[in-house]
Amino acid sequence: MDRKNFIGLDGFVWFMGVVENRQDPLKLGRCQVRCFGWHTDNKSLIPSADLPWAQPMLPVNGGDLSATLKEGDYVIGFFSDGDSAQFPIIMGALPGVPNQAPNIGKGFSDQRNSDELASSPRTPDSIFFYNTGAGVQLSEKSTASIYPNILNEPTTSRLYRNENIAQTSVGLKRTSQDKQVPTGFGDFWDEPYPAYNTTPPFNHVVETESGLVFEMDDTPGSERIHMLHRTGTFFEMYPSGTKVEKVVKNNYQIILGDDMIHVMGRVNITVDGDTNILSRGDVNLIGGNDLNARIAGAINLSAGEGFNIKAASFNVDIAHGVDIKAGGNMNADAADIYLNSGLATAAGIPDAPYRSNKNNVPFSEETVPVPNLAAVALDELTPEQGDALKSSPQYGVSSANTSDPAVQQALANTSNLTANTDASCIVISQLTPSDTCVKFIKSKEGISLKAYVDPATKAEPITIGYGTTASALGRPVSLGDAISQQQADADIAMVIGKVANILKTKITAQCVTQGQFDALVSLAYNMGVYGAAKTDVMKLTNIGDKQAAADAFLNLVHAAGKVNNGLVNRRTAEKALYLS
Amino acid sequence: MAATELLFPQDFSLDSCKIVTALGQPYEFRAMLLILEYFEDLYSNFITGSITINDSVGYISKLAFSGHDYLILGYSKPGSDIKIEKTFRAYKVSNRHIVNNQNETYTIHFCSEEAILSEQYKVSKSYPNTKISDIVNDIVYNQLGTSNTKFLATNSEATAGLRDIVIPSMKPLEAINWLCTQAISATTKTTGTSYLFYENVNGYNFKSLQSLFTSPVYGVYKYEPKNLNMPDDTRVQDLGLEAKNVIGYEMVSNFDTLDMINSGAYANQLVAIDLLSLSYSVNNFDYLNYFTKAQKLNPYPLLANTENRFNQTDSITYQAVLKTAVTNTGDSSKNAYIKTKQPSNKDVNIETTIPYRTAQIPQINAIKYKISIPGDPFMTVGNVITFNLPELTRTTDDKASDAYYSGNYLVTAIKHTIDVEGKFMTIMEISKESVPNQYINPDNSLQAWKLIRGR
Repeated sequence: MDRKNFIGLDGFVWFMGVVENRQDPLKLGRCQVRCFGWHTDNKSLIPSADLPWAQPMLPVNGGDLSATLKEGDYVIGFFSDGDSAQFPIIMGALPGVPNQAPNIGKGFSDQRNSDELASSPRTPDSIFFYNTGAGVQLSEKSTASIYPNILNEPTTSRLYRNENIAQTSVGLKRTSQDKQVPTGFGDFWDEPYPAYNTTPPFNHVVETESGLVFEMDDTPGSERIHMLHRTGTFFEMYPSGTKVEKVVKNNYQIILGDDMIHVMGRVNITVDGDTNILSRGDVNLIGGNDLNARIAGAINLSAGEGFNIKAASFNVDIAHGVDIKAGGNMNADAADIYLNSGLATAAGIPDAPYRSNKNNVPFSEETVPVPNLAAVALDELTPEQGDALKSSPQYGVSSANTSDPAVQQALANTSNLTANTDASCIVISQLTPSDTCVKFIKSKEGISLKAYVDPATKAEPITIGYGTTASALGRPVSLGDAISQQQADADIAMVIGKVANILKTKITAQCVTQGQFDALVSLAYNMGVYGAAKTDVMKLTNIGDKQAAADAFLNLVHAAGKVNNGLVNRRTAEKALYLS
Repeated sequence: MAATELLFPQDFSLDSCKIVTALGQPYEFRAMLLILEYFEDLYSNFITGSITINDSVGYISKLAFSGHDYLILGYSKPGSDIKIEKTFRAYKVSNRHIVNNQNETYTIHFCSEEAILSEQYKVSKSYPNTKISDIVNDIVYNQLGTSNTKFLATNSEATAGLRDIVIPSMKPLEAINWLCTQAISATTKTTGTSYLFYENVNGYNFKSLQSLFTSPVYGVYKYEPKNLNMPDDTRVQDLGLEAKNVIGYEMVSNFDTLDMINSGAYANQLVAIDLLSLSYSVNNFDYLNYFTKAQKLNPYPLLANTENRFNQTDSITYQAVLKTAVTNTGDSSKNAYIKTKQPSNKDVNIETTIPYRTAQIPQINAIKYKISIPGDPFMTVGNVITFNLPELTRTTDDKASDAYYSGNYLVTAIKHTIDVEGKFMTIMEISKESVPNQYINPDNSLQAWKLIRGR
């Protein structure tokens, strides 16, 4: 029987060769391989582009391409069409210790040109970790290197060999530990020292060209699982079972179902910035022992319905005054009520039935209500009304429209608060972004009615309209989405509104001008409201130093560590708006 | 041998038989020639031959034969204006015998220069987007350095389709033979496979069997011993007729059904596996169906529609020869993704070339004769001749031709022989893949047939 042209019976014709191109147009992981003996090294006779595409043989425990070949790799395989040699199949790659630089003028080496190298993966040049919450900054190499890029060293991973470890991701981790992190218990903890301690050949390593690492280390006593991103974000399971997880930028965790956490020891959470917890349902906080909250600033508790406290005893120790305001009745039901300082007063109780049992001082003075400026001219205020106004949130309105020196003097003397003499200063609760503000932000953000990737990251977040993103809009935004001008206008109005509302909670000054507020809204829209709240602009606004706050806009002009001309222009305009 | 006009059918003029050694001077050996043998073969890439010399001068030493010598043969046919001169490489000396103290004989073997050169080089070169015929031309002209007078453009039959081929370090002639297995004629298209690269009197040829079948008939040759039908020897000698007279014949092979089935000549099957689209196709070769659209030497197929006990004719028992090979999705219109991503992907066409070539080569060797004719230096392989074999029945008139063994044949091999007396003989191997008359198609429904097949 004639068996010529029968796969499997025409002999097994195998080859060894060098990968010269892996840019498979069919994306099957094929490579163009120059086979020793079969193909000349003369590229004018057989250019790399003419070499037959060799299909990779995949492992049986996975049909995908978990590891791809790269230019310069030595491979071994066979021709599926026998000695016709037109349909090569790669069975595997050969490790080695290359000692010759590639000769790109000839075949059997990495043939990538400068453009291809510039678009090829490579490890970061350097990594800088900020400890301010800004995350990590990578310095990238301008181009990748021709393979073999390291001579006289095995092509296997250093993490596999446990050689030159200081120059690997392990070295980076060892020098970038987070240390002396304070806890709520008053003690400190350190990020555990990296557990890498492999003995070849027990570490199963996948290390990619850009510096992504996955290790499964079977070394006795040092068994680990480690997954690391080139930026330094990683998780590592230690030989002891300890797990370390480090995120060098933002961390997002989305759970569509329930989240169960059972911590049998204690929990330490240290947050250097603000902590915001929003629960759309009930919040149940149950402690087996005490609940201790030590807050450096104020504690603001707000309940939409009742505020119920049930305890064996209730002790309040206030250093200064206590103001309790009830829209309705205030009922105290106790066996005895003791007031230890001065007189207790209450509107509608002219007979002052409650008295101090300490000083026995009668209620002789009524609280002066805050005057309604819509109904009373400033020059008609009494000194008592002036004091009341001075201590009210409305303080700061202009005294210029009073001609009474006595009133002005009263206003000036009634408090040690810094008076805002700006005639247009508006109490915070009454502020909303002006049309000028909206137009200003629109002009600075620009508009795209089609979704696009973030120009800075060339990736997420996907942006649409006036620079609005999914997180701001509260709806998904995907590449390919398009919106109308009306929708874009509605979106920015909604987002500006949200930003303004949050921003108002961050302004502790009694009042600001509309221009100040508009400028702050623009700043918050641009860099995030929580980021803006930490700036000197906000701090100086809150202590009333308007000019210094305006000048501080010009410090916020850096992007990726460099001055950004676009930001310079925007901040300059915001400063002008702030001072308007 | 030096006659200027044809006196006998086998008259032949050997104008020169010169050997050029490293000394640089041509030496004429005609006077010392004992025998000259010259071979052409359709399945061989080059001409070979030998001359046996009776040397009384000691040239073998004086001329310093080293195997790097050249033989120049010039010959013509008396009465013809055509003169042929060919240069060969004298590569070996053998059979050296001492005749007496002053004479010795030896044989000098020669072949075409390309046969030597092809052993000395390898072709490792890519040919993107190129016709196979253009690849062959490049190899012959540029890798072997053959002149365009020795490989005429008209003797290179254009192939169909463009291919991306990388010659994987093959000897030039090896590469050409490999390309022959993949070529499809641009003229005869789907049936035009089975290319051959051979050398004949016209130089090198790259042609498909199908195109050779359409060649004009070179001559009608008839086996007619002189003592037949010429009882009174009164016929005027017709040298032209005598030159076409077959002196002797020998059947080399007749139909051998077992061999034809075994070789896939009647039916075969190719399972082509496409590694890109991860699919396969089953391609069946049906001789009787093929014959209706193929070029042929004679009008009728070698096969009748006789059925076997399973009611199948020999031309549909495809698994008689089963082959499996790797193909690609060259027809990218079938695969939109490949069409988009790799539009340059070329069809390797093995679905056509392998089944057809598998069948065509044994078909042409189905009926083969060796015949001897008076020497004809212009007779060459690739010619089509008509060979009339008389029917071995008693008749009073000229014998009728055999209904199946007569007909058109393809000359597949030739041996020209000139002996010491100048007698020139041409011995040919001729083959055909078809018959001039239809084989009888039996009535398969007959009970008698059924009974016999069932046993």
